[in-house]
Amino acid sequence: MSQGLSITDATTTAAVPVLQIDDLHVEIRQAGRVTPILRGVKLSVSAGRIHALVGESGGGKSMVAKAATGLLPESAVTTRGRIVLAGQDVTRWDEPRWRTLRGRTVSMVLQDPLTALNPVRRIGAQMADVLRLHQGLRGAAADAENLRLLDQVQVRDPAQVLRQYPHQLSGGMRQRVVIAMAWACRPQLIICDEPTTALDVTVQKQVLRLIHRLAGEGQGVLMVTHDLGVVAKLCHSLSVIHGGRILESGSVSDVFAQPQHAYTRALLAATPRFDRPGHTLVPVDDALIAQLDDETRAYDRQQGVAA
Amino acid sequence: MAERTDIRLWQRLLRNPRVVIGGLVCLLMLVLAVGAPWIAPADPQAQDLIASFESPALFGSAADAEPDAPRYWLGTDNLGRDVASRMVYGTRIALLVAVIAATLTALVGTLLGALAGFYGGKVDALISRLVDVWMSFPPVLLAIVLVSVIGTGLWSVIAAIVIVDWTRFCRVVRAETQAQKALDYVTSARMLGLSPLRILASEIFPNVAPLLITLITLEMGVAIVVEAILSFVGLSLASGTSTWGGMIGEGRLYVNQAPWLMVLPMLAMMTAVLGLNALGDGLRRELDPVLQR
Repeated sequence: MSQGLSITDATTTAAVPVLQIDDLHVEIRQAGRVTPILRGVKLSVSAGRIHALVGESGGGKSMVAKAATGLLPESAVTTRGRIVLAGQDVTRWDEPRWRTLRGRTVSMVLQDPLTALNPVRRIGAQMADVLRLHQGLRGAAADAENLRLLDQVQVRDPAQVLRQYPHQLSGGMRQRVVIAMAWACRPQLIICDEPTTALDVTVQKQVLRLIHRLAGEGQGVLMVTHDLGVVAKLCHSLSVIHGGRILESGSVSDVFAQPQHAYTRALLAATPRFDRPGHTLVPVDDALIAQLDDETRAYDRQQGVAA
Repeated sequence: MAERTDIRLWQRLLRNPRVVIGGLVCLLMLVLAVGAPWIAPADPQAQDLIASFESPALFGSAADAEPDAPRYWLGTDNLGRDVASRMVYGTRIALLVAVIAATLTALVGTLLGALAGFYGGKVDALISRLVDVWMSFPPVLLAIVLVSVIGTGLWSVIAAIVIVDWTRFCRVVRAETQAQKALDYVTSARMLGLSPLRILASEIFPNVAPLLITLITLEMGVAIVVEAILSFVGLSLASGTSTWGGMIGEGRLYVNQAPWLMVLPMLAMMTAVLGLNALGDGLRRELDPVLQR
């Protein structure tokens, strides 16, 4: 595939959303208890763009990522809303149908590269699975493609790496392998679930640069993160999530310049800013969180869900 | 290239004392079992009533007085049968039971355990309750009842061991499968579009395999002991056949007069079980790439 072709792809399809989530409500039903997890989430990721989903732990970030890949736990029920992935309404798809999309149309880079690879299988064998499954490549053809993929994610000495086991690689190398596997079949949407949280700062930078470069080839990327520094450097647009509700969405430049929601302002105030050296860090106010929680409960009551 | 790493694995295995000792014990058993007709100094059933209760010649004995009389290295029993030969042939039965019973037990238990652990829900509930009920029977009693119902013989003994002991594999494999299933690499594999069976076979199974190797070798030890117990109570093979358990059972009657009749087969059994356990433990440590680090 020539470089020129992928660039035109990126520009012509830029407006088309590869992932569109509308008014998504998900609740966990377990042991007779109903717990709302997502409360009307709305977001969209366009081809060739990196969209960030920002929020603190427990805010529903990972649940959105799971919903968009059909990996919600069995106790989770989608009560309202819809998910459109690459033009198909996948809201209530079952496992076998999801399997036809995963790896091919959507794929995910998990947070911790230490556990995301099978410890007892060689890197080459694990990478070959994806190629065989989705592209029918075997033997020498698969080996060649593996080498090309590893080369693309800037793994040094790829031939050697293919023969190694995950524990013989560093964290950064492993994350590169995971990224290579996610990118192997050029899926239209790639979800990165805090891809740099488990890495050293210097390695973080390299991996982010890599994701940026790969995203430039026309895929949509949903970047789940709590690091606003990453968002500022890497992403085009963002959604702020708290308590399973999207509080604010917009382009990164707009939101960073003029945050509309108090929570977004608080998050920004709590993030180091190198562009404003005099900026002092302010922890997120407890009263604000309490107020947000009240709003969430009020929302639940309004929806008729017993809190 | 693959050969180079294989050689490294072999070298590593040969440096591990457990693997070496256990391996030697197993090799010795294998040689004795396969070569029994050539190795055994006498026919294990041949009776020499004049030379009954001959004490082991290894320790120096009455045989010195008569240089022409056949020497019984490990002595003779009440019917004048050569103990050494009977033990060699006993090894054959012990190893046969150990290998076949452990393999079948592992097959049944692993299959059910993996299904229960991987699919969870109703499948798991059904299999786990079955295991609970199964394990509430005393195992040896269950084996004895089974053999008395289905009749004695080599295959009955093996069937009894499988029927009694599959739960051991089932429980361990189920727990391990559950633990592995929760790990990110399984999510990752699902995320790449692999089917459940494929994930179970090529992702989870290799991670459970080192554990299985340990369990199988332990199970071989258990099978040897269970076979001995069944022989001891006379429920294994026809009493003519030489088995360690049978020898212990018969030797018990003459323990004051000829202690070697009971002690020697017991030693053989202990060596076999200890060797198998050492081998299993050593292999597990060497084969697990995570422990290897």
